Amino acid sequence: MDKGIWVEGSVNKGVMEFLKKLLDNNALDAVLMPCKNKTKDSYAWFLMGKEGVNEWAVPFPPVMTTQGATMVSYLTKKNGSWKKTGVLLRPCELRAVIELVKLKQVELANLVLISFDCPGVFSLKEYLAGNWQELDAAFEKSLISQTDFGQTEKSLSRNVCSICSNFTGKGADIEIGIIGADSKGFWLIPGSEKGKEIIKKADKEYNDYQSLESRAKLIEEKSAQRNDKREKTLDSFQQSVSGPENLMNILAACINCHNCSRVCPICFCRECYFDSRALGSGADEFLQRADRKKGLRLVPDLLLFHMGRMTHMSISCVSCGACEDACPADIPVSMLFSVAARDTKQIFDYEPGRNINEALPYSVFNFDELKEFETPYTKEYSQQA
Amino acid sequence: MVTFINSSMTISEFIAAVFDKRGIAGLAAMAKLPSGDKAAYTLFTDKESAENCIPFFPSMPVNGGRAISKLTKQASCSKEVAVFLRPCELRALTELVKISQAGFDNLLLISFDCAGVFPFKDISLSDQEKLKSYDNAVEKGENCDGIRPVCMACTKFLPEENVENQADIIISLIGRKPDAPLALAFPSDKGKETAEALGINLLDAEKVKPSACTSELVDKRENEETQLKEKIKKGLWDTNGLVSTFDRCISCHACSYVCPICYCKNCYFDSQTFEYFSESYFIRMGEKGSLRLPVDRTLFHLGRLSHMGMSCVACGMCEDVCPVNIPVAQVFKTVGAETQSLFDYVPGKKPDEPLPLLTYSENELEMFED
Repeated sequence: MDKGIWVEGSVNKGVMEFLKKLLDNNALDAVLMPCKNKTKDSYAWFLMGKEGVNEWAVPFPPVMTTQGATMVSYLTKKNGSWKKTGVLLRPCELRAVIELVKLKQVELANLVLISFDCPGVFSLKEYLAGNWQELDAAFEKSLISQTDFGQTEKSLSRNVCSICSNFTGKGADIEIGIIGADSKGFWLIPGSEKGKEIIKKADKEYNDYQSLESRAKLIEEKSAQRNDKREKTLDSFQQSVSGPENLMNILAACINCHNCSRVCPICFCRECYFDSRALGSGADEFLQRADRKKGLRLVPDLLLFHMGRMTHMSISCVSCGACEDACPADIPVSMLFSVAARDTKQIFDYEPGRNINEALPYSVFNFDELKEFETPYTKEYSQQA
Repeated sequence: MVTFINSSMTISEFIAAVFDKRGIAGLAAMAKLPSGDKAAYTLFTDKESAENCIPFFPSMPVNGGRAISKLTKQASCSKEVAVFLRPCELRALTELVKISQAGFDNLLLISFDCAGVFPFKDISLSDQEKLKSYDNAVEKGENCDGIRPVCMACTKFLPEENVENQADIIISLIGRKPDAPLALAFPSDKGKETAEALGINLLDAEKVKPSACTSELVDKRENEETQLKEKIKKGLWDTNGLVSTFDRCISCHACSYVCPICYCKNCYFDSQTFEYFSESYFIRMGEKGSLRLPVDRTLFHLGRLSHMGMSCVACGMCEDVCPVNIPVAQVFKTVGAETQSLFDYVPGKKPDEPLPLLTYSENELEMFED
């Protein structure tokens, strides 16, 4: 599917029109997408029927208040979406949805996934502290022109966004292509048979099929640039957090509130192991630990929590940045997890959200895997014996 | 009436003496972390390591009541542990003891005048200027710029007035120079034993005259409290105000996670009760045509207000962690005070006063019933 349907004009208006047509023609019963909140100073997700779509619906918000994949999980976890629903997701939200399907926390039946070329978002704190009219305008400008925002503006997009190399909506049923549109419009790109059908149902006028060759080239270039920047940034970040001393420096501000895990789309457990009784003990045991370590931070097990989360979910980490937005201590959590995830992903040649049929490495067993890590230990032990 | 005496000890000498002469097995207080630029609530078992303690450091990265609950919930200490707690932390601990989430056994409770704390994010060990202006404010009995709004409006900052019979040792700070020897009071039997062990003769010791600026600060704070409550009540008025107050909420529930009173392992609002079949989302979307997700956002806050508002000690942790700057602590302080006054209940003041939610009297709340 290397062709897209060209739609002239504003991408915000054009996409809203497209969604309204889908609702009007009963191709969709509802859409799940961001809207301005009641007081208009932030955004929230809304499930909207034909009658509910209003002027405050914003397909491309400049901030990620709650991760879209978590919303999709709420809607579909128990028995799948009751009605045919279109969901507008950022690329990282789309990838998290796919991971959650693998973890049986999302059911895709009756959903039409729509995604777009994402220029990144402001950090939640920065957005809430700033002037929202100005920030909204700055974001829209960079969305339409598909430039990295912030470079000429006062504010910058989040660190994880500025090194994101999966910035297109590839993999969705319908991809909204803005890169290469030269600020003149956008393409509706069907990514699946389902997507193709839906576009047909919206309006017969969506028929201006164009080749996407030049778009593909631009994406390739931007991807290469971003990958390069990502590697370099993560390399230097990794250096700054490597070793117990550096790691503890960066985690010194952590208050062990676990909010990073609460907003993480991948951390779906109802009861987190690190909140369970398993880590509790009587006061005397705590005193013994304090004695051994010459001081025990209360509440304890802060480092264990982060390390545990890294092993539990980093392989599925989509670098969406929700953890960092929600951190009350401004710890660069999402950078930390992006670094950890880079290694785990490489070991298993796994890219979260890339392909729904690609099994989670944890759920498959290969007799021969991880030998390179095992060998040094087995050697050591056999020598001891 | 609690009497303070002039000791000749600095805080570090005091801590060392409690280890040496009282023979405590451990001590918990705010302390410098071995790495980074932050302080954290830390448990020590030897006086050398405890030299890192800075008990009065104006930051609350965790409510000490919650920390001590973690320490003592499963089993109390078999030997004595001294714990430094701000008045609101001590009150939180007392509430937790009432709901069987902590134990006082073998704790030597040390509290002190609290001039308030900065939001934990705003204060680091190297913030010399801020810390200096804080010390200055403590000495003059003023509100320091930059401390949290609930602290500015806290009228329960004196342990001797607001916590009855719990603190074994009280340290008076307001109106005194930061490097002055400690002014101490030993209200309990355990406290008096400690004084004796430390070689303090309570009868002969020089009494500390109460400083005028302490009562001036109480007045100032009362004024601030009235204003804060008025402002919050105005904002919360009617359903529209209530919804708008919590409009930015992203339902992360961080406020409940750090709340010392919210101890439930599985919060009702995180339970399966609030996981719906898909149908209900569409039915709720219904006529209006739209439904905001996550759902039950305002309900969560109302639920928390009714579940723990009665025990809210206005410690401010909830507001410190809110990632979207909702004045959670100010709301809970205001609404909490209203429910508490209905039952003539002051959370954490008296350890033997039962929680109103646990008692039934036939004649209560008739004004609402009719």
